Amino acid sequence: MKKTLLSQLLIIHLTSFVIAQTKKADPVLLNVTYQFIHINNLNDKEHPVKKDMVLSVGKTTSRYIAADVYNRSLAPVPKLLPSARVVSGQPVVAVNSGGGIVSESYYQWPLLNQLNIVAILGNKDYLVETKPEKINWEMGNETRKIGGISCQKAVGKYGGRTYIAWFAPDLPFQNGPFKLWGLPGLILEAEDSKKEVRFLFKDINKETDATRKVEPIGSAPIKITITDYNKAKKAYMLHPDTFMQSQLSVGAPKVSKVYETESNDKNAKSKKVIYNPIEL
Amino acid sequence: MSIKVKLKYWILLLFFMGKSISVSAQNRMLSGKVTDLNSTLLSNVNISLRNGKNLILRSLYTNENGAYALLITDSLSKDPTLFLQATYLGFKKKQIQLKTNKSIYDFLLEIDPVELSEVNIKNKPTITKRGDTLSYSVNSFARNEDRSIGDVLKHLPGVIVGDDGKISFNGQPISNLFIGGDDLMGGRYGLATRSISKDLIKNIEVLKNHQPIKVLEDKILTNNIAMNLVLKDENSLKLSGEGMLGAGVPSQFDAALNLIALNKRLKMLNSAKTNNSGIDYRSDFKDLSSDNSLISNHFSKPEFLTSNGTTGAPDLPRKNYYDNKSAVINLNNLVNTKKGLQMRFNVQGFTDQNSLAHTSKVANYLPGDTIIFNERQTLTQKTNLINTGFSVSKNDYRVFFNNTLNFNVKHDQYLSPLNFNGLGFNQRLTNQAYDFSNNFSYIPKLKNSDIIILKWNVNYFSNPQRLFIDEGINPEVMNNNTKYNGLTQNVKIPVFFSDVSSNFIIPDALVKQNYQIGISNEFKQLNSNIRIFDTDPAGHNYPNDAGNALNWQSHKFYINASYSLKTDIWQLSLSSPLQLQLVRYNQPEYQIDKKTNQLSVGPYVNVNLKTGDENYINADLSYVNNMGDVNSVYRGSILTNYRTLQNNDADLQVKKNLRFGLKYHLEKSIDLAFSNIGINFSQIMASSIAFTLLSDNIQQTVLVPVKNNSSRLSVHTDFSKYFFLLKGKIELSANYSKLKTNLYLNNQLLPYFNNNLILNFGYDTKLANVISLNYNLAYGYTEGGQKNEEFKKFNFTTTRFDQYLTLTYSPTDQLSIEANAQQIINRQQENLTSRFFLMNSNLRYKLFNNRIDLGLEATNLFNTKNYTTSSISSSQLQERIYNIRGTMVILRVIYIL
Repeated sequence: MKKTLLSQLLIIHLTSFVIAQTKKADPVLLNVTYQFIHINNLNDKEHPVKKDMVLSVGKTTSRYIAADVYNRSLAPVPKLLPSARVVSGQPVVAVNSGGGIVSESYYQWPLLNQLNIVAILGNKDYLVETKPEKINWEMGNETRKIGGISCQKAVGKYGGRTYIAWFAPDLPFQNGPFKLWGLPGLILEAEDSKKEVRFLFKDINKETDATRKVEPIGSAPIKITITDYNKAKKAYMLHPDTFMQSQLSVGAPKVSKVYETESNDKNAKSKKVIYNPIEL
Repeated sequence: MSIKVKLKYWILLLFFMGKSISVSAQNRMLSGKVTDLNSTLLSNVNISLRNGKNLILRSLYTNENGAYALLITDSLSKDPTLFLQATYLGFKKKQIQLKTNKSIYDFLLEIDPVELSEVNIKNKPTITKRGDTLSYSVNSFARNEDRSIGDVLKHLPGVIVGDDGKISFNGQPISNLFIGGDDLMGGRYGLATRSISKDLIKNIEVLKNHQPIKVLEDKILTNNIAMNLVLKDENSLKLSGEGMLGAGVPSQFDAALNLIALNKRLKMLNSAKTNNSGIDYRSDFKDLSSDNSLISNHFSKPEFLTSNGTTGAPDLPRKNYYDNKSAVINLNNLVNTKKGLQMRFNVQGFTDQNSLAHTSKVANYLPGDTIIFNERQTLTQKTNLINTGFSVSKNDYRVFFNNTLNFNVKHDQYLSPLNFNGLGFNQRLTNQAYDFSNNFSYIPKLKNSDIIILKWNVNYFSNPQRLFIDEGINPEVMNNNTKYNGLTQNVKIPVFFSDVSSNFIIPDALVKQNYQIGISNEFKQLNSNIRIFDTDPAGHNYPNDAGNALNWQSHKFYINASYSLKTDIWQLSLSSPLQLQLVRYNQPEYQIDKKTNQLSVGPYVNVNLKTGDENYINADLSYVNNMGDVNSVYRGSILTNYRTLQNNDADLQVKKNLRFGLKYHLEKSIDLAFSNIGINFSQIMASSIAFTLLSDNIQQTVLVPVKNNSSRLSVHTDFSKYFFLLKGKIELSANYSKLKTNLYLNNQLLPYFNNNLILNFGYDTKLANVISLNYNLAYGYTEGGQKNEEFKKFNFTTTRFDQYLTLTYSPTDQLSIEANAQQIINRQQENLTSRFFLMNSNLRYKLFNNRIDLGLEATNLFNTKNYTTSSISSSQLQERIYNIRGTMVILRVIYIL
């Protein structure tokens, strides 16, 4: 017992040390807001999922997260203990016509070829570390101004879709929204060739608070493997309520589903869902 | 540049050049290195090949040696406008035009003091800070079937609303419910969540680490979670509300009317209700707030000493046995003046009559003897009560003060015809309570971050009690063996209490410190007498003693220092209250005049250690030294119920309680597997023990000075896992507890034990999208008896199986149908088995655009008449049979005004 405890402690210290060495939390330099539009039900193209997302860019890293979570984090939050997160009753899970909504945020380290996903499944945060294949971008010869900043077109394939991206050569960051990266300038706008997944530019501003870092918001996520994550994510999307019920303490009241938006709710009832994931 | 680096650079260059030659003679290799003004090689610098239109044609990054090599095709290199650009964050970008015969282009970059100086990006102010607040939009969480804000609360992530209306967030009860930022209900918020329509509220805010006192904001971080209902229109003068009418069989009615006006200046929530269909209004005005920081914790109201019987309420949902006729008026009004003063007035008037019939059999296991008490009782309780509260407060950033005045009166009458061991008689118990309190608090703003809090609490409480029995029970004990006709027991314990205290808090240090100093004074009396009625209708006093006329004073001086320290892995909190208590009591009629002083320390330590991302160990240890109360010193006998006569023959009782708990929490949440294991130990060392003389019809108890210990050890473990294949969750839990105690029964001091095992199994799944199923099975085993080997034959046991099944069917948003069934099998001593089956069902349907809500509820469909349960406490085995309400069907129509 003593021995395992000691080794566990050691592992915690070692892992945090390693993370600190390789993936520094840079101060935030820029924040870009995108409107993310996703036709998640091919049978109901008029009612795509719409969400504002914020990309916070540091010197070597970036964080791409839902705007509401980002806005909430702007206040100086005295963090609650992780144990206080154990929910013990009558909760709901948010769903849309695609099933349980998995809220994912993405952390890119282009120089290290590292992309981490922090995902919220039910009432837990998980961390998945990945080393994705590089996107083979082809430079286009069109330019256009986005938010007053000159951008150049590039085309690349990722996750079974062909993306048309607009990057700003004057913003020397290789980052972008979602898992899109690797261009010689920040990606300010991108959409797939079928216009089913779109990241539209809304706003860009410089960070004025030097203390803000590109790091996960909220409690420290639990590190898991991509295989475990994909299995759990599939189950969660299929039966989010039963999944979340299982995370709750023994004897907790029933979890019920809530539709994310009202329009989505009505359409979900009337039309059969042909689920259209971002990554095919 | 070191020779080694130089060498690497040249090797790399040769490699690329060789490759380019071998691939195609037409292609051209560009290469170079990037340094800053100090000749430091810069890695990860972006090198882009651009044309005259500034379009990027190719792009790459320098390696760790600051070198790059770029292969371009011949066709491309024909463009005369081509140039290379080096871009690196924090440096000025640099461009070099390509020349036909040159293939090495080195860059020298200058530092740019302004990052991103060349791009014009606006600086935007950050979004309004709103503290540690989660805000839920009512629109996005409300469902069609919801009516009140309480219905919406049930869908918020992490929020539970209990049966009594208590709201919890992430398992923690909220400290208070605010409406438009104001505490309208004074903590009795049950009515508010049930009657405020979801249409009046825009957002529900969950305020974590809530500090209701503005002077203390940013100074003291509390662990409180408060909830605020943000009004849709805070200038609205509109009056809103709803009316409900219901009727059913057998002769059921239910009616309610609520009137609500909520705006910035004035808030009111007034309601009137009546029913006889099993709804208990007590939860409408129960105090649910948990923020007691401004109330003294040194005062506890004396309990009622007399009772109408020995049997409590059954462990079933209240609706199934509460046979009532009730009405309530609940008025809550609040005004904010222009000068920042707030005044609040709350009144509740409640009247209720309910009845419950039951039979009970108590077996008292004594060495060599078993005494059985049989009782059959029909109890009718009539309650009338009025609670009033008036408060004035000012809460701004310069000063905080609050004064709250409460006056509560309660009158309870119990009529209970009783049959005890074959003897029938009537009882009438009248309990009254007068409760007056005033709480004052003042917190000034100090220049530095330190904090001073001043509090003064005053209480007056009195509880006259009168038990009348119309039969000359136990004449051998009560009236020197002479027959008599009846008796009255009167008891009254008036108490005056005052507590003045001051806190000094240093919040900013590494170790947070909180020092409290205070004085509390308590003046109490205990007056009681027993009047015996025989041939003389005026009656005479109980012949064996002079009753009680006890005077009591208790004064406490206390100093409490508490410290807390927190790191990422460890969390430690420690407190050690030091208290000097002076107690003086006298009972001249028994020549008793005693003074006792006690200096006591009550240390408490809690340690939490994180052993992994999701695992932790928590340990706590406490030691408390408690002095007894008037209850442990009065000398004259008090008939606490028709068969128990109680008094004391010992000095003030001193109880020392040592407690230790250890818990290990293990989880792997991605596999949806959770587990806990815990152990708790508690030992109580008391300076006196109850000496009990049991005979066939009466139990006489005297507290005598014999030191004794009792201890409890309990072990708990639970496990839950979601099975992906079954698409459902399985839960298992086990509890085992072992109690060791001593009983002084009929002249023998005997060690007794109680062992208790509870096993639970639960399964929760979805059969189809519109049907869900929940099943629970519990098994309980309890044994009691004497520890002594030779008396082993006195062991006695009960076993209980309890299974519960709920099925819910909701095909549309307008309609939902639920059915639940419960089966209980109760067995005691291997031979007596009783079975109980209860089934309820309900249906809800909405129409006219949700303005009208129909509910059809059927309870106890199989018309089960009674419920049997049994329990074990030290030497007693009690079996109870309750009459419950039969089949009821009621239809309710709710109309929103």
